[in-house]
Amino acid sequence: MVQARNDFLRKFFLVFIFVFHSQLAFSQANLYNFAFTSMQNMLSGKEQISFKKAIFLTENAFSDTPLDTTQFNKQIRLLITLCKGFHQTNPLANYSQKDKATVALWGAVFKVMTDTVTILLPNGEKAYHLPFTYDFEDYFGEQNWTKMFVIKLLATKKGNCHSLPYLYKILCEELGVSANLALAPNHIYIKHRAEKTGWYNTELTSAAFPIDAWLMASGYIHLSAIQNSVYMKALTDQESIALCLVDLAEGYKRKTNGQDTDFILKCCNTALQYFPNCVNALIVKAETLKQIFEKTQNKQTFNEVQDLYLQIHDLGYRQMPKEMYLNWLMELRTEKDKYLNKNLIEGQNKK
Amino acid sequence: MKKALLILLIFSTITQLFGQIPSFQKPQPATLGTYSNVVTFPTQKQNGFSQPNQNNVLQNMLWQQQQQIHLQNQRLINQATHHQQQGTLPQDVLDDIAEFENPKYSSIAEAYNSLNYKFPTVTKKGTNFYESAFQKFSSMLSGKEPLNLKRAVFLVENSYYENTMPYQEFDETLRNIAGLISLKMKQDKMPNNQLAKNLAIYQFMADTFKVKIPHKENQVFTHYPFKYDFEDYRGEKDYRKMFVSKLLLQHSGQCHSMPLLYLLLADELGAKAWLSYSPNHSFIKFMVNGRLQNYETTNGHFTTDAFALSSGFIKAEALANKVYLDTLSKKQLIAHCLMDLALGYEHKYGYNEFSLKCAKLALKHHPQNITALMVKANYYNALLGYVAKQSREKRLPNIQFGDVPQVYELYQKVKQAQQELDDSGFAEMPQEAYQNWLKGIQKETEKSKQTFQNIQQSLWKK
Repeated sequence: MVQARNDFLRKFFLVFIFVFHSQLAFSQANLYNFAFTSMQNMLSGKEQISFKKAIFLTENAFSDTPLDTTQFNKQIRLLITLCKGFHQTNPLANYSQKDKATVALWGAVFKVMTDTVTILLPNGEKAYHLPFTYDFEDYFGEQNWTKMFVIKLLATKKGNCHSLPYLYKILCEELGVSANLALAPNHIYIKHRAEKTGWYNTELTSAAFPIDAWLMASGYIHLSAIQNSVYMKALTDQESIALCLVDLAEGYKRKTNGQDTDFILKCCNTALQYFPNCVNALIVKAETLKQIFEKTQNKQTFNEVQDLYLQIHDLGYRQMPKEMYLNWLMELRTEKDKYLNKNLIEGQNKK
Repeated sequence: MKKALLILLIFSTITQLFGQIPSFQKPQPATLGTYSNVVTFPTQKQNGFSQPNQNNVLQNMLWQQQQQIHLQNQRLINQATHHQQQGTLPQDVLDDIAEFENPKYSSIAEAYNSLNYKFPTVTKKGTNFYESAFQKFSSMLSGKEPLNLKRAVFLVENSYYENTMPYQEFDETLRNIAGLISLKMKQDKMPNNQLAKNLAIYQFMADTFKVKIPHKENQVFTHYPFKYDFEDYRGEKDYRKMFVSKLLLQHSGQCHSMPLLYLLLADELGAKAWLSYSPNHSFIKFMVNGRLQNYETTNGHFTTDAFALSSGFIKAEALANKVYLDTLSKKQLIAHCLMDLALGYEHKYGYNEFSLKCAKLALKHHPQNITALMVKANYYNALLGYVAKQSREKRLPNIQFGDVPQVYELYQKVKQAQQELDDSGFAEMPQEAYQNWLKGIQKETEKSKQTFQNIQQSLWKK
């Protein structure tokens, strides 16, 4: 009897463990599916587009422990308050065009993110908000994918060309002004259009306003890539969500060691439906299909892979080695005279 | 024997061309009379007119733009006041003054209705040549007549010279040069393909070019490279600086005439080459082993797209919209010449409906033509300035743009044209920056030489 009870207990325990474990795995897949559906709805117009939500869903799905929405929102709100305060106390000089208020808000977000902001406390003491800085370690998130995350940026105050522009876009949108992401090889930056200067670039990793020539000087942007709007185009909000879908796929790939290819392909195909020249999606898709081909040796898959690589090449994509990337990024700090937008800097100095 | 004749013909036509084209004159600035007696002019307030206020955009713009006219008016009125004091002013002038002081318009709208919202028609000698040239362009672009670059270039230059330029000689000169180039290709045993033709044109334009004269032993015809004309290279003082005929006559040109000559010769020889734009600049692209090669006609360098981008004034939007670095189709090239026609007219007669007409037609066939977009924007801007000038001269009361429908409509057009220009990705490149950029090419000499050698080698391999 005792023996039987023990057996039962053991079985129960085993079952319990099994159920608990599968539930965990199940919940992870669930989170991914939930994130995918939500973003798909945003793209098809069933749900309102929210870049902040898309980012949160993507990062939450990857994370082992569920992320705290309230905490995330609280951190964003704090930054918003800071931006608003900065905006009120530092009016924009030398700018008379109609979009003055918008430009001033962009400036405030930029300052809060890239510079030390002094806050005068009610008791007369001073507090400081320190800028977000560039994380030179594992900046492509190869060892640790969470290096790319906005959550990680908020927690450590260090980020890369992925998390910094994303946070910037979130802050701008929370403040009610737009911000466009733009792509370069292995890189994301911000584009704004002001009445006075036309389109201009905001680079958060170096806290600068580079001219387009800097991006082209990377040497890995082929003319046809610009003509085909693969790179350096101000992305629409829809295209930005499509970009998040590719991030979602990348995260899923790492999470599952590339076992479940269906979900990855589903993400890529949906992204491509709304952003046909999204080279990142094309590359992930091609890599995944290549993986399938290696297993199945299916001729049709092989042709599909070949067509994709051809399309990627025709669009003007050229792979940029990792070392080149950092050199190029740092050129912005060493060759200021050559690459900084003089129109904007003169305005700043006059201030 | 025929070939010898041909050479002779060249010399004779070149000299003839010299004789036919009027000699170059420096335009004389208009002189103003001097006024000895300075009488203090009553300020605006005393006159009953309020000072231009911050909110009034129209008057404000004018306040800056029309300083000079204002000064001139002041002088005239000073003179008039002087006359008045002496009681020597004629009655009609006195009436005008009375009208100024007590406007008889019942409403602002009525007052502004009396203004001209179009530039006065130019009736000066020579405008008819421009009109007929426009008709020819129009039928070329609509497909009624074949697209012909030589004809188009000729139309532009001949209209400026008021129909005194002989087409036959222009045509013969080009054909003779082309004859020399093919002769050279035969003598050097170059293959008869696209690349060889382009290289031969390059040699004629940028290198010392020697051809043995057939049937005459030891006689060699030498042609030295065309030079870049640094003086007034934008043709601001003298628009003729832009012309291919000027390049042929004076043997020096700039980034407008030199690529055109290249394309004209390419047409004669049946070589394929395209015009391409970068900010304030145009150059040649031709195919080398399946890839487009850039050729900078002003200094004979083989350049890269990266060099063009290094100017720093090319925005990604301009590339995505194919404003810069893209190749122009045959039709777009004719539209390019049409804009030359419009600019020539502007230089001769000032702003007029004609510029707008040309710009609209060019944009119909080449919506990203940056010159046409600029001409359009400038036209509306100038027209608004003209209306503002009239309102100032008539001393009409200040208005907001929205007060008068005609002014508002015009203002909207100015804004729209500006918007179109901005949307294209255009960025203003200062003259100084342009010069520095073009000079920067010297640093690339080695690279260019290497490219040239590679191209030449690939030619002989075939």
